[in-house]
Amino acid sequence: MSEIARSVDPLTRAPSGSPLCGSPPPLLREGGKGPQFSSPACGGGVERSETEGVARSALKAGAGLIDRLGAEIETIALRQGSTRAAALVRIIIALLILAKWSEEFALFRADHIGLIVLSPIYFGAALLMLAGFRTKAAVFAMSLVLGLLYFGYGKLGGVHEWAHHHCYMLLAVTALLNGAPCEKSYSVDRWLALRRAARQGCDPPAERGFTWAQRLIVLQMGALYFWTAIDKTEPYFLNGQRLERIFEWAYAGHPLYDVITAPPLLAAASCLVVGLEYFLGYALIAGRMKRAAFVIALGLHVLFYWLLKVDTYSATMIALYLLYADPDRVHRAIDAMHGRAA
Amino acid sequence: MRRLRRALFAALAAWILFSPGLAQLAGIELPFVRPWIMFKDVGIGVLKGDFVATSLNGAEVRLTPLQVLGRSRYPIEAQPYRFENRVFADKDVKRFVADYCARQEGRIADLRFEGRVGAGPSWRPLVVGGLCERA
Repeated sequence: MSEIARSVDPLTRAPSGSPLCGSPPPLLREGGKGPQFSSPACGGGVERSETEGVARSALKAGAGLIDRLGAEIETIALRQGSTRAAALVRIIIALLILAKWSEEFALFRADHIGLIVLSPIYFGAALLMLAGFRTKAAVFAMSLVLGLLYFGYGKLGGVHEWAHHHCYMLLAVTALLNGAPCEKSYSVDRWLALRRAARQGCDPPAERGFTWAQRLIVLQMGALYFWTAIDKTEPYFLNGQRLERIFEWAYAGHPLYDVITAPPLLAAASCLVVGLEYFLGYALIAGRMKRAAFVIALGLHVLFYWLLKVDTYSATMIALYLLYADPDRVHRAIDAMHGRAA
Repeated sequence: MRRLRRALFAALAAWILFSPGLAQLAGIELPFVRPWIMFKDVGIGVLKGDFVATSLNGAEVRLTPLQVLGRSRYPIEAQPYRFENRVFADKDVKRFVADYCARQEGRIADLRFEGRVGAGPSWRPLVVGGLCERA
């Protein structure tokens, strides 16, 4: 978070002297309205003064932490940046949703009344989301459809295939895209806005907007890594036995079975995966060591795709790393690719 | 609007970061809380080991679970929990070998399994004999 906090957008930069600019937190200012402490000289003796000293330090540290956290939230929630990364993610997520569910929603397969009703809404929302026409409404409709698929059919209706983690990620990202101005780039909406601006003799609309939803998507990725690493931090995973079970299902009868299920390899791979997931959880939540995180995550998710049936999971996660990069940097990189000066 | 955006961000961030702990640490399972437990149940009920078929003249032949099923691979295109031959209790092994026993009727004296089965967080040892005996 601190990296983002340092790179405050000029549009949202707080005035000098505000908590965002590193002035002392209000609770700790001299003469402020913060908590008052009695001097050791006012009675209580050495023991009491030591206790008071510790309490004062703890209170100062706590107040400072809360203040810094508040300032960080303020910075992130109000930060603006390029909308290109969010728009690219919107397009990729729409394609992944189509890849995941289209066959189920095709009319020849949709023989249940609920699916027959949902089918045109699903295809309409997915295609509009992909093209970026009436984008806000399309993303909202798709969030409702995915919510119904995951919670209604998947969790309550027993269609377990629709309640998997990769389905939840598609739902969570689509829902969070409602807060991202992902219609402002690479969309029919933008094309129409450009035509309107040209007709009225105005400047082209800026590809900029609030990036807080993008940050939440990155937090979701970080939380996923962290909590899955917590789940795997137990002896049976670290000694390779859980992985052995997974590979027994996936590789029994495979020509490379003996190599892939070798116990030392499984134990080493298990420990490595847990270590990398803790690292990625930290890197994404704290917004640090981005270059290393990009490389490791790409390698890890490609490996998952190669080794196991992960459905849309790896592709979704790799695509979402577009949001982990600084949005303005993504914008400049795209400009550079098109041969335009940044 | 500014305050609303800030409050919404803080609430959603807290939910995203900490809600999985409800299920994973406190054991409170709610439909709208997503625990990040992945692939944990894959391999439950899958056998790893050998079936030993004893012929009428006493010779023993070792077979993999897939050979007994008459398959080259598990049905990996489907979800593992849709596999109907998973073994949860010892009696399920009899169901696992039912077709094999029918094919080998009158040609083997005994069929036993020596190995492990995916159960709980790991494996559990499994040795069971008399699999082709009729109840």
